Amino acid sequence: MREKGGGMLEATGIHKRLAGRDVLSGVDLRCGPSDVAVVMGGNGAGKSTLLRIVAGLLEPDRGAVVLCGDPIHGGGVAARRRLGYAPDATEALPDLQVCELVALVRALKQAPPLDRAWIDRVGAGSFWRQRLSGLSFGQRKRALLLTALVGDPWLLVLDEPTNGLDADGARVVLGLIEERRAEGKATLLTTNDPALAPALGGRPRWLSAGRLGVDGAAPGPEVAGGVALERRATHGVRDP
Amino acid sequence: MLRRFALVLRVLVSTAGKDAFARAMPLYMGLGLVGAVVFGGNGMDPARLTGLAGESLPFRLALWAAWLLVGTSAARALLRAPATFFLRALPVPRPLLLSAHALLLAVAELPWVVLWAFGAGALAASAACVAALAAHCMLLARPRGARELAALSLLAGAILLGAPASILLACAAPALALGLRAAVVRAPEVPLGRERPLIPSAVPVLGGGLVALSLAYLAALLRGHRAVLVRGLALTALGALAMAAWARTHGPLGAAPLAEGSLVALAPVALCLGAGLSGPVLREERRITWLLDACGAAAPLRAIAAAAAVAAPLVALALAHGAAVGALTRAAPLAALRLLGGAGLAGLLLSGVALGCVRWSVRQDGRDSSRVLLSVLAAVAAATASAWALGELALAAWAPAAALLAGPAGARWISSRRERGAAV
Repeated sequence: MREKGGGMLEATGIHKRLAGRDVLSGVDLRCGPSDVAVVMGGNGAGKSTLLRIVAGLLEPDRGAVVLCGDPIHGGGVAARRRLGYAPDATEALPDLQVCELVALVRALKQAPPLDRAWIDRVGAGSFWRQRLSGLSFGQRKRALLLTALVGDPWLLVLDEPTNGLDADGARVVLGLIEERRAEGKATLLTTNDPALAPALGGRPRWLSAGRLGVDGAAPGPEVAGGVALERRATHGVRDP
Repeated sequence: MLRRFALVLRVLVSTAGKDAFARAMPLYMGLGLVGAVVFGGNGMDPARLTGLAGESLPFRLALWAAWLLVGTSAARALLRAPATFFLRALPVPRPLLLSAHALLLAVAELPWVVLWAFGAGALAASAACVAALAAHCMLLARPRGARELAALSLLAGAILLGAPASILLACAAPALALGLRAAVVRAPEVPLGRERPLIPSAVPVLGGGLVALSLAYLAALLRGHRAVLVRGLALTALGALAMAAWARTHGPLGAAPLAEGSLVALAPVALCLGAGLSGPVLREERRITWLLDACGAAAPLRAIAAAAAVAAPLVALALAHGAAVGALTRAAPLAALRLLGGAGLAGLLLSGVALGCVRWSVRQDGRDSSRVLLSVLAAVAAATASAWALGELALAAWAPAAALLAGPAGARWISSRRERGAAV
């Protein structure tokens, strides 16, 4: 089914100042059907802030985010129903069971029940009835990934999706993104893993000094954090 | 060695101690106020209370149960603060860690120790302190194995039989040694928690979000804050008993004075309990702000869900209060129904007032507990005075206050004022 607005995420001129520092200064990002946008950057570069703005958690000081023709900010819920967000690490109601957290998100999004196959694929079946406080970091990441999948959203916003996951979990995430790409759905993710972007066939974009670098290029030195970036430009993020 | 001990103690005080202080302070200040009224001036001699505890088994059990209930939250905060767990990875000798914990736990037992010191002397105070410490540790450690169970039985037996101070001290010592070690060692263990889910997988489309969010907060209360609910039950029973005693001394009462007295007794209990329930609910609300934002949950839905989660247990306890007062005063069926209705409505309205007070007070600037205490005390004074002066008409006065403080508009107004205050 073709989404309203052509199925497109458009973030234009995003500015955000936090704690007296310009974290984002004029970030433009477009993400179309089947795109996988990979944002990389050093620690504290503002990757998570950008994702939190796109997911509607933070309001930008300037700029706008429009998803499938509907603005994310300003109180509307139409755009938020079309996206699923999984943060990197958070305490989401530690006394709730995984099945309860999924039911809560489903109710809030007014979404249909989650396919049982997804629960098994994400590997949440074994801890489906366990409290979040009793789960390991990786299990909690899987649970949060599952909540992001509720309602089969057009855009998946994933903050460091493979961080803390075992090899099987990382494979599940990659397979999931590939499958969604085949269905014409988009994914926006951040990572510090230089191998992830090429593995996804997406073009990494480097966030530095509050700006998104040219596709596949890290602004400044080619080596970041001691790891040489593998640059492989393929289809993915469109230039604004 | 002493320097290392002081260092460990400093770390514990600045992490677990802060949390325990925030939890225990309002409660202990409340106890201090009650103590000043009961024992101050020409009031009761503490020796009468401790003497009664020695003579009467039901009174002794009630007194010990009440203290164990009151002190558990501070003991839990001291033993289970995740911020202190890193100390276990450092080469800190176990006895050093245990003694630092014991010292802080003993500080948390101070009100209990003071009561026994003034009532029965230094030896009785030491015995009461060691026994309460051991009991709190055993409660938190959930004893396993024959040795721990035997030590717990010995301690329970000594308390049940009202053993003299020296014997109580001797019986409590092994329970303290085993219980403290077990409580400290098992603190980082997290129970799996495989209960029946509270949020059904199929919720109605209309209002489903509200139901699910309220149930999520309720699940957090039932699973993570049982002590608050148990304390609420004890407070409710105390309020109903006080009301029944007052009704007896004032001869047979009609339906109207009975309902009025019931509201006067219920108001402080409901507000204190409402504040106790509001803290955890608002904490959970802050914790999942990201999820609510990402799902596009509207502000009215958030405010009403939090209000419903605080109101549900409070209304249940208020109804229990009404039913207990009706039964204890042998009220006529119509008067009992009136008591029940008034208490239920009072529970609902006062839950909103308490939630508003706590929402206004919590600004995470280190002075939250004193603000909570002051605002709740002010609300208690206003609600009790209005119930005393207006009788059942006070319900009409509480309704707009509750709607304003706990409703969506009030929640938004308080949050915006609070943010402005925090920014200043």
